[in-house]
Amino acid sequence: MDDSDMVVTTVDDALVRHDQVLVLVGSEVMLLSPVSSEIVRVCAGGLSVVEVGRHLLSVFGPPPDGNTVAHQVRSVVDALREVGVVKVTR
Amino acid sequence: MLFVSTRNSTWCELAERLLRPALAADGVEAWAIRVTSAGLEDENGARIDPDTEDLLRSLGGNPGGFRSRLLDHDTVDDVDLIITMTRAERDLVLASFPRALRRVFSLVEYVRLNELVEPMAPLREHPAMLATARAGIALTDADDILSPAGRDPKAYDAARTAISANVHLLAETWIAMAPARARQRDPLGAATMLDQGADAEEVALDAFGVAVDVRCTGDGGRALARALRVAWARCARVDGRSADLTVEAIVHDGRTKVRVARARGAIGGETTSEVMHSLARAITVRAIDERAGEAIMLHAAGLAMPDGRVVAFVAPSGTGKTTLARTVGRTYGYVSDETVVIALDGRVTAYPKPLSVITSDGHRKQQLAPDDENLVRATGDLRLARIVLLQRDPTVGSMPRVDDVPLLAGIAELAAQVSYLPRLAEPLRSIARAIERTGGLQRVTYAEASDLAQLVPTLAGGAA
Repeated sequence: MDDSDMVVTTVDDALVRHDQVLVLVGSEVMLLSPVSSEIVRVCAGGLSVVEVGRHLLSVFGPPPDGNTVAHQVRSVVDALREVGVVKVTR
Repeated sequence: MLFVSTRNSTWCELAERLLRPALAADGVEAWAIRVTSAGLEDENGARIDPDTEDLLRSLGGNPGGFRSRLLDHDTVDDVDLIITMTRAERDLVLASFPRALRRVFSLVEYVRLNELVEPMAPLREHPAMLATARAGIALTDADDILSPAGRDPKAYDAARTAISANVHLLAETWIAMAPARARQRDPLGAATMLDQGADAEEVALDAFGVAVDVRCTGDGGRALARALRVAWARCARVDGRSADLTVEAIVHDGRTKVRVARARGAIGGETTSEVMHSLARAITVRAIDERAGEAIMLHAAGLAMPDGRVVAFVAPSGTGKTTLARTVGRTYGYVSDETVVIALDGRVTAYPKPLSVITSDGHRKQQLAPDDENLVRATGDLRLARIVLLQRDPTVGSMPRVDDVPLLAGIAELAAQVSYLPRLAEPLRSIARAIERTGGLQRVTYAEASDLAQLVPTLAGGAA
């Protein structure tokens, strides 16, 4: 996944309460973590990988596990892509 | 549905080629349940393995036109159910395609879960419902159907028998719940043959607003109609509306005639009780199909206060809804033991169908008339007062525990028990509105169904 790749939310429906998002993808309903929820919200209109990283840094600060934001973004976006919550385009 | 094994060209292909004709023989057309297969380690386009071809021919299957294909993301996304032959293959599918979590099962696992849960819902929703019950069954190595390639000839026989038996159990389960439009044709011209001299009678029912005519034919047609009128008395349609859908049911004492009847799409069996059981599933599922997108249809038992406030007790099939309705329904109005239908404005349509109770031999469900069980009639303008997630725990004592459930986590849990959720306008918001309008979702943990009677007024949000 390159920095310039675009991340776009692809859910069929979403419900937002406080800092969490519940999404419907096909017939699957998934409750997302706060970081995933933020990605889904901010990528509704599409955002590049590097911009997603900047946004997460401004909201949550550096990842607590010592990883870089870039690593965290790729890891979470990959997991969200795997379950059909976002798509990543070049 | 998709069969997957390590190599498509050998093993799951056999299951695919056996299930297709088994479904076709019972009147389920290929478009209604599409059966395909793929391999985890195959080359696209490989021919069928020669040993498997021989095996398939010996079972009456047709190996013609087969070309293997490798399992990929598009294929996984395109199917509702994935069946593997072993648990190891199931886990391999999951490792590569995590999004298939609630859609992939080993063959024996799926058959056992079906027997345990007996879902009364559209087929497309079965995998998610069954996945929630996985902890309820224990599988051993003996439940994996290993590829016999390169093994003793006896291994072929054992595997062949296991696949054939389980595939036919799958077909048997699915027939009553296949989409109704798949059941209109009469390829054998059987209708005339079966109806000649038969006792044909129609029973007019109302399944939560859907007008259903059950056409009872065959040697036992009149007896079946009589039994239906008793068991389904509270669902009798008396307003003269014409039928939205017709279900044909046939009781014959000969297996051949039953097969012919099924081949033209009828619910057929050799005994009245056998057909009554299948009819309960067929009527419920086809009525759900008919109302898709119009209402929130919960897999729940419903009980009503005298003023019409309804508490919907949501629980997976096979986990106590009928026992609850049968027990507490002697005190509060019986709305349903299976499906609570809620309009988007909160009105509830009753579905006081017969109670499906497992017979003493433990093999088949008996349909008990609510009147014979002395269940209270649900009266007044029914409207939703509370949705409750039901959880049984024998250690909890005689006073059930009530806990509030956070909205989003609750909807995530509830979703597998809502039919046609994606077809609702604003699916998640519609469910959220129904929950928030009634004061939030609650979980009730209980030991015995009778303990719940004391809670109904409180759950309904007011005095008895």
